[in-house]
Amino acid sequence: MDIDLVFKIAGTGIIVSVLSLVLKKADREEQAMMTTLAGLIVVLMLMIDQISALFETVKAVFGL
Amino acid sequence: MHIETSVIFCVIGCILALLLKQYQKVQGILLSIGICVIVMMTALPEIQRIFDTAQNIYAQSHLDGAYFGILCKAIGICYLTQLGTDICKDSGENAIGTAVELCGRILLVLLSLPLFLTLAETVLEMMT
Repeated sequence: MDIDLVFKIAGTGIIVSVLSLVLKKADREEQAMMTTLAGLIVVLMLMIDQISALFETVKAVFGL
Repeated sequence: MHIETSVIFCVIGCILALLLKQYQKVQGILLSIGICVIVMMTALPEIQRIFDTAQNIYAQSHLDGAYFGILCKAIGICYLTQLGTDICKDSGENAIGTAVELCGRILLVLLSLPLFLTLAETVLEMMT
C-alpha cells in the first residue's frame, strides 16, 4: 500500500500549518492565506491521479 | 491485500488526520480522502474475484445475463455514493452529502426501471 503518499500529504499539511501560524503571528495574513492555498493545491495535485485511478478501477470492476 | 496492513494503514492515517485537523481542517480532510482512495484501491481488485465467482454461479441459473450487469452497476453506484456522502458529511457539509445521496438514489431507480418493467409485464401476463 502506498503509505508514502499519506506521509507526503500529512507532511505538506504540517509544514503549511506551521508556516501559516508563523506568518499570522508576524501579521502577514495575506501571505498566510496564500501559503494555505498553495499547500491545498499541492496536495490536490498529489491526489488527483489517485482519485482518477480509483474512479477508473470502479468503472472497470462494476462495469459502469 | 492483507487485513492487518489495511487496519494499521487506516489507524496511522486517522492519527495524522486528527493531528492536521487541529491546525488546518482542509488538509486533514484531504488526507482522509487520500486514505479512503488508497485503501479502496487495494480492496477493489478482490471484489473483481468475487464478481467472477458470482458470475459463474449466476450463469448456471439460466437467467438473463443482463440482470447481473445491472446488479454490478448498482453496487458500484452505491459504493461511490457512499464514499462521496461520507466525505462530505465528515467535512461538516451535510447538505452536500445529502445531495450526493439523492443523486445516487435517483440513478439507482433509473438503473432498475427496466427490471420493474419486466416484473410488471410478467405480473400482467399472469393475470390475463
